[in-house]
Amino acid sequence: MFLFSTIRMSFSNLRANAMRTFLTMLGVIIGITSILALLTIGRGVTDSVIDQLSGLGGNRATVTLENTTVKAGFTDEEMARFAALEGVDGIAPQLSSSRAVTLLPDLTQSNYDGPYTTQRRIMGVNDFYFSTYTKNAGLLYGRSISADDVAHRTSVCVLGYDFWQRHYGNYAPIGEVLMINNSPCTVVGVMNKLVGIDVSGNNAVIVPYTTASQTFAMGLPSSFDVVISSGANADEVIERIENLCAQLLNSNDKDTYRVVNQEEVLDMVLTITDLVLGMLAGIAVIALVVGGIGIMNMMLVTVSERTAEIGLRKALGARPAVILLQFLIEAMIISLFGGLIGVLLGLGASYVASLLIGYTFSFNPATAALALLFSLAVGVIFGLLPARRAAKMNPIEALRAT
Amino acid sequence: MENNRHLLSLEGIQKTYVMGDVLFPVLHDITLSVDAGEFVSILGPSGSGKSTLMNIIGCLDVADSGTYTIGRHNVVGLRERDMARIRNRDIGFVFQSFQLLPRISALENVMLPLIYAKVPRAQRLTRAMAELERVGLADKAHNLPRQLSGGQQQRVAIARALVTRPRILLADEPTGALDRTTGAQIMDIFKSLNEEGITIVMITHDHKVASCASRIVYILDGHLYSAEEYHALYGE
Repeated sequence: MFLFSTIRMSFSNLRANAMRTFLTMLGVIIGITSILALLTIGRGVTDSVIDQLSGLGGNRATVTLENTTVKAGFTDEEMARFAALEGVDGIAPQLSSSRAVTLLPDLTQSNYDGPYTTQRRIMGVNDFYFSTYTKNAGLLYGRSISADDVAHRTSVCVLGYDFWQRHYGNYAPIGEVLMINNSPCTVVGVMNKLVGIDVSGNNAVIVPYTTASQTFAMGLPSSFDVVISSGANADEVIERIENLCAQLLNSNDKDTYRVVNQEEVLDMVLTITDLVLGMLAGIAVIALVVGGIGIMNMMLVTVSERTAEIGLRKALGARPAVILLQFLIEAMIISLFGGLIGVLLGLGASYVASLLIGYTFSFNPATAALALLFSLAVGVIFGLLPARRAAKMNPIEALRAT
Repeated sequence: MENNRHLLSLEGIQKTYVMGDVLFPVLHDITLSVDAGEFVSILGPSGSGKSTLMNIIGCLDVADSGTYTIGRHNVVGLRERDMARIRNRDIGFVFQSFQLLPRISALENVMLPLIYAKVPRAQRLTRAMAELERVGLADKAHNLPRQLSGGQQQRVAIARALVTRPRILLADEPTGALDRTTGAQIMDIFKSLNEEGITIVMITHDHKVASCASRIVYILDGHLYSAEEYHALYGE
């Protein structure tokens, strides 16, 4: 009951100085908006990075040959030995190179008026690429590249979504023939659009890596991915892979090959994002502190302006604690309302950012509650000094201030 | 002398202000008793110490030495919060400059001391309204102070002073900011309140105003004199 009258009184005081109240609130609004937006955007981006990396089929390691003239690339037999290692689900070699591609579109269907040649990226992959990496996207038309295609070096290809859309418009070009490096290659499928981190397939013509290697003269793969079983101890598997590398290269020289664990990359990415977010959040906290100082400044002005009122209230029997509470509540109203507006603006900003950047927006009530609590704390901390000054005021001197 | 009989009793009150190394003695050995139902004027020129005395009586200030009791409460040595409680319950202040809060209505101004007395809102309303009726301002209850004349504002202040049913009404130059006619009206209200049994202590420098009281005491250079002592010393 008493609290209610005090709160009502505080509102009327703040309304009487609406402009000043708003400007003071602005500091808190800016601080809370930036903190909340940063936290929400940061969490959204981090979550989608994790999603995308782990969506690529569990933990991966990439084996790459480096600085060696001994080997140009890995043979099928060698890669089969990696695939057979304990704790390995499979391997995915990737050849990638630019080749002359001649399109022979169906003139009744296509936008183009004749065959033309363009430089396009050719990706050589195996069936494992489709069963793990692009599993989520799936195929728009036709089929993917099978183990048979890889084994028999068939001249078939699957088109990346962007490639297909640019060159074929929107019909299913199954059975169409492309000339790659002057060798015919039959389209057997079209991939859906890949989203996420590795979207290199969208603009490429995807063929069996064995075909790429031989028919399209792209050499042996000098690098391939190893997909580690989800149950396996990644460190042990990495060690086995490294041992096999050393054995195949007949060398203990670690400079000649590199094994990069995807999880390490993920950790590194997350460490960097955390660091950047932490720094930005630190700046936002500084903004909030500046906002708090604004509140303190305004409350000090208010207290000195209302000296006579404080004196009168004391004469009428307001205890020091009551005066303290009254001014503290005013400071808290400013900061809490600033925080509330800041939370709404911050959520709005991160929603807009989610549309622009393309991660999934999620509202976390705990973050919002924390931001409100934080803003309330700012009000209490920075309101305390002015409120104490008011509470300690000598009533006689205060009354004389009329 | 039985202190307990008096509503208000000061004995041997001393007050000295210190400014740097210089001491300014303001009150010397003040002894004053006020009985229930009295209307006492404390008359003195500016600089006589009457404001300091009023602050001590009003529990806004504490004496350096001496005893002060209101009813059965010994005021000397109380904590600030207990002084606040006495100001709230036992003393009703009327100031020269009215001291109404400008942004709230007359009624809300009158209700203010009841908020600090933790009286429920419904009761606050009826009691404040009753006091406004007593000073003849029930129809102006929802006006803001600036929409009232000086005399009306002072009547609101009187209603506010009476709303907690204090033991004494303490008035500091209540007519100081008013013209003669309005001042006289305020004094009439004081007299009729006193006839209703309300104890009033009024501080003034104006003989005419002071003479409305049933008893006058004089303060000069920090010394308090009864009428007889004063007349013996200084004549009429």
